[in-house]
Amino acid sequence: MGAGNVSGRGAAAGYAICFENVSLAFEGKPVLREITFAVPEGETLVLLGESGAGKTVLLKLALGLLRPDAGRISILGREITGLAEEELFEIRKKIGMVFQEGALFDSLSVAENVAYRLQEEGVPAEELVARVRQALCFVEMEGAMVKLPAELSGGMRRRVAIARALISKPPILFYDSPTAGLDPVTSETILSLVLRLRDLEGATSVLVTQRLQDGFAVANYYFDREANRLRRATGPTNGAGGRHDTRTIFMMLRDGEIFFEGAPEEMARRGDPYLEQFLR
Amino acid sequence: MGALSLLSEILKRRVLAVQNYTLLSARSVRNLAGHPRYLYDTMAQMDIIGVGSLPIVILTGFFIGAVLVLQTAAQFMAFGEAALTGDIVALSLVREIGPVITALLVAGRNASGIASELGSMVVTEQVDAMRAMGTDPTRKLVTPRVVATTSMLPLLTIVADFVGLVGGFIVAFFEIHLSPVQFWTRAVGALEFKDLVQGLAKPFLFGFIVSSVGCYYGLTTRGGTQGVGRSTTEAVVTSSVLVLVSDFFVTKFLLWALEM
Repeated sequence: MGAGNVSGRGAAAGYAICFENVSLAFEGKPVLREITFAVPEGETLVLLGESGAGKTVLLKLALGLLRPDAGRISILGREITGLAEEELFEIRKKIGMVFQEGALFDSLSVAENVAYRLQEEGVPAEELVARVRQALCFVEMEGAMVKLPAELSGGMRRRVAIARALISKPPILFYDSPTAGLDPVTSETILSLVLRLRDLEGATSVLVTQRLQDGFAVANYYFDREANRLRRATGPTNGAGGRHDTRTIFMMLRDGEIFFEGAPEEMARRGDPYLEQFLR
Repeated sequence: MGALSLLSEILKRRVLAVQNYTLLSARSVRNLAGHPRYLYDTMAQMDIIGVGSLPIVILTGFFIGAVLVLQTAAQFMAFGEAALTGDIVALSLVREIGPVITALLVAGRNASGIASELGSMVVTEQVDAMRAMGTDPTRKLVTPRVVATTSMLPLLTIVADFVGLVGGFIVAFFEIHLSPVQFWTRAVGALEFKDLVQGLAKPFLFGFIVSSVGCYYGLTTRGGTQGVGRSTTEAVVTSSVLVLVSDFFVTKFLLWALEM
């Protein structure tokens, strides 16, 4: 992964997400400039940056909700830049997205929200009910099936949004600031769900956040399937030593450009004054 | 920025808006041909737009018919032709006032409702969420509303026309002492096939305008709750103006076509 590794038309092969020289401007004002990176399948990208750095825009570009002014974007080896809206729907079905505020359909109940994607795909009612219950159990929200989103707290809404994103078991998951505005305990619950999804389903994940501690939590913890709990990935980062490889890379955006890209510990080592502000 | 470039920018935005509106309208119609079809959503919208608008259409239709008689009866009585009141109420209601007033009422009630509902969905990222889950919002949100409004408005217009005639009759009966036979014979006899065609063709077009304009403003909402309010106002104003402007051209066309 990295800017230097991605070039040429065949570069997207083997990557879940691939951006090549992507630029976007809103009303003449650049939002993203010459963004090039790639995320191999199964890896986690923690996307950092202050407000307005272009993090959410980058996710929306990857989903095809926005179109770049220049450059190429590929998802699971297929270039999406030139696809028509109808063709993009097939690509989007392979991506689960957790929006910043949840973006739950406010006129539908929790269960209907979670079932939405399966209903669209025409899944039989019996299977649909079982899968909805399973997804809500995963996020520990099975008791709120008949509630409306307005009756839920911020943290509960994010958990339902995660259940909605994971219901179709997509190979890619995007989280747009899933812990923003939440208390530390609820944030921890949300992050543990992100880790469980990553380590149980092996999904490629992109976590957008302003909080560096969220990034380090994703990089330094993993879900132990056998022990059925989160464990700290300690020890040297050689994969063969005592450390569990969480396959997590940090990327920081600043003013629409990639300011830093690399391993979490490298970020701490660099000693850049701008990065220090996030590390403090 | 100079005045000329500012003007050019404004014009470009207007042209772009017309282009986007045209594309959205075309897609809403084209969606009828493919799958998935959201029948349940369409029925729900028919209930909201059709059944929901019924009380206001009945109330308004009644009083419009009544006031028409009040305004015209005195003139006809001056010429000793009070019986013609039935003719004028029937013709003006069925050909013009019924379709236009019903469309304006539905524009006020439903174009605003559609724009605010879709606008709220846009600003809370629900439309993006829908797209992200592989659903086409024009299929799921626009086409059901366009189909529901376009099919319900002619029915509401028929109700408005009938209730208007009843209102006109009641006033004619009590105010100018016109007998029921006199009023209804003249009212029904005055109407020809081409009047009914005119009166029933217009609501289809008006229904399409009201719903598509509401959807367009809703889906292009920007700027949070304030933006939702702005979209709602613009949807009502634009759809009302378009109903009145298109009414002139459609009437002109129908008069020409029916004469042929």
